[in-house]
Amino acid sequence: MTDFLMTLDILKYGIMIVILLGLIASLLSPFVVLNDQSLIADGLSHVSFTALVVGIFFMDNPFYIAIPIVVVASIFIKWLIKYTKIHADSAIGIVSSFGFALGLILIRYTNSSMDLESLISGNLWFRTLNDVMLTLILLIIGLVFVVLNYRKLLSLTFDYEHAKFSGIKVDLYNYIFAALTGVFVVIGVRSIGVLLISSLLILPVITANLFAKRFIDLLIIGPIVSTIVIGLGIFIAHQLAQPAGSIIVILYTLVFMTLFTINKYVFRRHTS
Amino acid sequence: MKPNCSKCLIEYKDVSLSYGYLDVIKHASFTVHESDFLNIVGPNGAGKTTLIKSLIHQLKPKQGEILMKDFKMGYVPQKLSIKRNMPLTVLEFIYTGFSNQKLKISKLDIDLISEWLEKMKLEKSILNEKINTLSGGQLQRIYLIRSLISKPDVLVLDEPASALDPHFREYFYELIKTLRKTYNLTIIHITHDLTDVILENSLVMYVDQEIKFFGTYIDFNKFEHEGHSHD
Repeated sequence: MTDFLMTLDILKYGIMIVILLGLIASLLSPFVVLNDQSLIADGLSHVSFTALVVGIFFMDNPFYIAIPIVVVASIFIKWLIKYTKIHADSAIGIVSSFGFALGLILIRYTNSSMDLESLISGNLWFRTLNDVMLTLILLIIGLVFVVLNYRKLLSLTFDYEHAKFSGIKVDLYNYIFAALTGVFVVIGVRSIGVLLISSLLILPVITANLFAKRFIDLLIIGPIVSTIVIGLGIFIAHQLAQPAGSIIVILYTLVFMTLFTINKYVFRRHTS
Repeated sequence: MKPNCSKCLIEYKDVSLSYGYLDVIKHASFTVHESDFLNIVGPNGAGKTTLIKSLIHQLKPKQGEILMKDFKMGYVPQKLSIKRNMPLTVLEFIYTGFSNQKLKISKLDIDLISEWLEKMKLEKSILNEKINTLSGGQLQRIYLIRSLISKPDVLVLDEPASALDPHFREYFYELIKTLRKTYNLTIIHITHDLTDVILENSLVMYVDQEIKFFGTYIDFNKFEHEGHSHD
């Protein structure tokens, strides 16, 4: 137990960041997933790989260069969907593989060897108070944005044409939302990893949707489930000496499948 | 740009509409005045819905000009597309039609919605139902409520009665008639079936790629008897 508390102390910033990331993700989740863009985080995480490589050319902390690059890529995906009328998944696929391909070439010209494994599965160890503050700021911005524009975002997610018809600046909201998602992905990739980040964005809404009756329920149930699963995931990861990111994703998937089964066979039996 | 005459709300000047290379409407010119009841009829694929799309700014004209005054518009689409995987209650849905939406829906607004439910012969308990559990007829009525709730000046209905049973359909058109009188509503109504429409003081536009007829219902009858072909 003392050992666990010691690790907890070393990892405290990392843990705070993942929990905050979970909250941000569950806030963005309904609007992203219900707009058929579940894989946007996956796509953008590939772009962040390249963006981080580009960043390395210019400074030691490539992070601050990566953020604007990924934000632009995220907005570009939305633009591509709107103007070329291709499906969201195709647009995400194009931007993501183009970005990744570019990154694979560029990485050959960098001197510093990038820690590929920590980029893939994330790393909670070297996080600082600064990183926590940055994540917290993103959460606050996201929260204020969603609360202030809740009705508009709901309308836009449910029926894009009607939202546009009723005078909502649909494109502006889409682009702001894309930017938020982009920043979330870059910050998240360092702690959760390129390959795992999208699960944080997808699982809250599909889990909450098992029980949600109203739209607002998604924004209540999602964050609660995410926080519990992430907390528990970190604990289990420590006990099993496994990377926290992987354990969180596996645990979250198991929780979803369990709740799905319970919901289907226990709750529904009475109503049908 | 706004139409010239004082009672004119909408003016189409030689408007052509197309999807890519496919011309759907050619050289349409007409005017809608305040408190008009305009029925748009025509065969399948004649471009009726396309014409409406240009009216609600979903489609820009390829050629010509659409002049409109500033007015509030309510619209019920032909295809009531709902996202099956999105949880949304009837209350949350209807509230998207309000012009001034708050984070928390006020008691006053809920009362207003309840009044409309009553007018549409729906139970108040439906408010907390998920919209993906509603029947076609119920869904069509809550779409109507959403379009009417912010008191529009112009109401655009694209085959609004298609999912309603004959009995309610009759009631529905009576209701529209009352609303028209009470709120001095201008109505643009696409239909396949002119029989159950309120025909007194109403106009008919017959569209088939171009406007073949525009006038009163009485004149339209003559036009029909003189014969035009549904080719």
